[in-house]
Amino acid sequence: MRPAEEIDVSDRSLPPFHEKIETRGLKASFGSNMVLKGIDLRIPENKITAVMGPSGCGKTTFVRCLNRLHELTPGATVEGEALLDGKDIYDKSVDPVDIRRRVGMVFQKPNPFPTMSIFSNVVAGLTLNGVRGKEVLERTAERSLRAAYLWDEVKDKLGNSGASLSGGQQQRLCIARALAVEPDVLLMDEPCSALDPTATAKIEELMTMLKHDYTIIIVTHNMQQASRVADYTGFFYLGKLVEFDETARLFENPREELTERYITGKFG
Amino acid sequence: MPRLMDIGLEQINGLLLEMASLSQQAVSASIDAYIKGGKAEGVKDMSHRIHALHRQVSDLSMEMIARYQPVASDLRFLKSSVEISYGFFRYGRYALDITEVLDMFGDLSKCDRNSVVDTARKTQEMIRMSVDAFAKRDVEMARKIPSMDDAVDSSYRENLRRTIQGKGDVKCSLSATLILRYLERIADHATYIGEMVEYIATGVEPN
Amino acid sequence: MNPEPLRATKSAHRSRGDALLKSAVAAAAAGIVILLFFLGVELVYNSRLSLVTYGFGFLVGTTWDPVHEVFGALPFIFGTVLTSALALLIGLPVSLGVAIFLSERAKERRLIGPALGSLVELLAAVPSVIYGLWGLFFLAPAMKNYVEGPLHAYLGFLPIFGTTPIGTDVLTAGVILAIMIIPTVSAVSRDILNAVPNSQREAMYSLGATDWEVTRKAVLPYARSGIFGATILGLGRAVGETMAVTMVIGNAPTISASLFSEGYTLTALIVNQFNETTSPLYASAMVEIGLVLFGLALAINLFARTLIWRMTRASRYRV
Repeated sequence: MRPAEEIDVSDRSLPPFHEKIETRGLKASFGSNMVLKGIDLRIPENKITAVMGPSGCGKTTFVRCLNRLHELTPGATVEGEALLDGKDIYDKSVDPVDIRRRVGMVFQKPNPFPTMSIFSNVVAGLTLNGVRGKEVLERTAERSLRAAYLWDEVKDKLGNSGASLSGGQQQRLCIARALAVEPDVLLMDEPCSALDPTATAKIEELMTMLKHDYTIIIVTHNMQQASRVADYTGFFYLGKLVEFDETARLFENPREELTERYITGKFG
Repeated sequence: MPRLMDIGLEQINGLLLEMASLSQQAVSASIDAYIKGGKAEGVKDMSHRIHALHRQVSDLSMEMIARYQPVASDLRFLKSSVEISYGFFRYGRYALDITEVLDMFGDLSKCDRNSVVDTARKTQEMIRMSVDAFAKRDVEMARKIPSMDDAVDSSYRENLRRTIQGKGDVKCSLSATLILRYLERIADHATYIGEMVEYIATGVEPN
Repeated sequence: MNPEPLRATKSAHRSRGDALLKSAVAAAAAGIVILLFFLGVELVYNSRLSLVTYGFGFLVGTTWDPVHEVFGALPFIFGTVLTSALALLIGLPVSLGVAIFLSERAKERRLIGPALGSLVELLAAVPSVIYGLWGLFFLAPAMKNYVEGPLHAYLGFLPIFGTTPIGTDVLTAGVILAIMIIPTVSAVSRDILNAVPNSQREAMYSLGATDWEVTRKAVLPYARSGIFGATILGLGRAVGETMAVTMVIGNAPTISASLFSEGYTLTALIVNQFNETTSPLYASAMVEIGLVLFGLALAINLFARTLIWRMTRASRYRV
């Protein structure tokens, strides 16, 4: 384990995987403050990748660069490349609106649209893209709500306000809303931090079902959550990617001393 | 600032060191009794105490894992502590077995005990190395143990061959065989403890 | 030496100081409430003659004849309502546009936002009479020649454009009022829009929405009740505006379908005739006009503030 010992450890290279997203030298700043200092990372397809690290390490910024949400903040800039299926999402010819549809996001605090019904919330993304037919909308709504394991709980009250549900249900509603536009990737920014343990467990189960159809990236500061749901984990610190490995290996035997110190709680 | 977990980890470490010391003493006492004759002092009590400590270590490790969900070196330490504790427990157990052989066979002063004594010294050295390696988390020392294991193994097998061939006094050869067997088992455990020490430090799985 | 007596004196001092401050503050607050209360009471008291004489008919009577002591408030109520409605019709879209620009769009160009915002607030600092002067000497003729003239020429068959353009008419009054309420309505609306949580915008963005779609579908619906409240606030201002209106409205108590006719508002009436009340009944009727206005303004304001308060409870919004 570097650099404390000079021990020769057996080969630690990652087994090969097919990537969905690759970042090359990705840098992100708020004005003159550089928060991401050049990230080279490959995100495996149809797996759950956890992005972990202490506050201020850049993990949320990293994820918000992947759906081009970062640049919406005044003064925020991005450098470098982020390839989605091999094509740079920051290329001049790319429309950010299109990227944001392909890379969906679920936020820390559930944010359903309170002035819309549950049904309208779920299909909000569809109506944006011009989908009108009642039948199509209803079918998609049911499909998405089922995928989010929310259908049975709300099928009789689709007309109720989106804000009338419990916290956990609201979050699943937001997941259904994100899934309705059929993204390739689902970004989840600490999706369970505002939820109680039961709701959290439901979301975690949901994630392990969803990964078969989507590539999921989850930002979490909860290491137990990462070890429960994530196939791969990346550890960020002060804007750099310190280590990236299969979750089990990273948690049992991290390569970097910094990782070891963070996950065993010896920081600070 | 120490973590909550550190209290428990230190407790386990302390228990293991106590077991190490006790088991070392037990083995030395039984070997001394073999060489000089006479009763082995307190080996039985020590063995029982080590057994009790082993159960404590086992329970405590499980509790730590359940409560703190440890990772990395903490996790490896806790996994290993049960194995290492078992190793020390076996040291003590075999020391007791050796004294039981001495009780059963009585006076062995007429036997040629040189090879056994020689092997015993090597085994004691391996015990000392395993304890040291564990106490200091010294991976270099841990890696030296397996080569000594070969010497102990071959000594045991050589004696076995001679016993099969029927050479020498039955009492002598049988007692020697049994004691060598126990020494060989102790040596195996010492080797395993060494591998556990390496695992804690580097994460390399034991063979 | 025993310190006890000293401590006792000190804390007694402090709690007396506290009590003094508390009662002073309470008195000030109570004073305001009492003032408002007495205002209302005074108005009712001094209009009792008129109230008794005309009863409900005061509100629907169309004749205002001091000579023959026939007092009906309808033309003025009509004038107030019409000009205020015009003010809203013209001023609201502009205010909303300004608010949306300041809140949603000007974030990038960091200079434009505050600059435009300050300019709009400057509009509020202009005294009412100045607006009146400007309206009389510039706006009214301009309206007559370039707006009302053509409208009457080409669309004069429509009743609202049916009479000959004068310039100093209800339409011009409506325009002046619109200009005067824009600072208030746009400032409040901008605060309302800013109070919409960013998480709502981000939710819409991450579904693949353009900037305008985010504003239309996530921000405005959320801000609905708040903006409605801002509108009502603006309405309250329009209803209570006096000088600028009276200088451009023509001050004739007509009730007409045409926007180009002269008109009269409750406020204009009071300011024009308060000094000419020749009889107790006249004076009482004047006060009753004030009472009507008072009630109208209070009700509108109360309604608006309740709406805005409900909308921005979470954020730290202060008017």
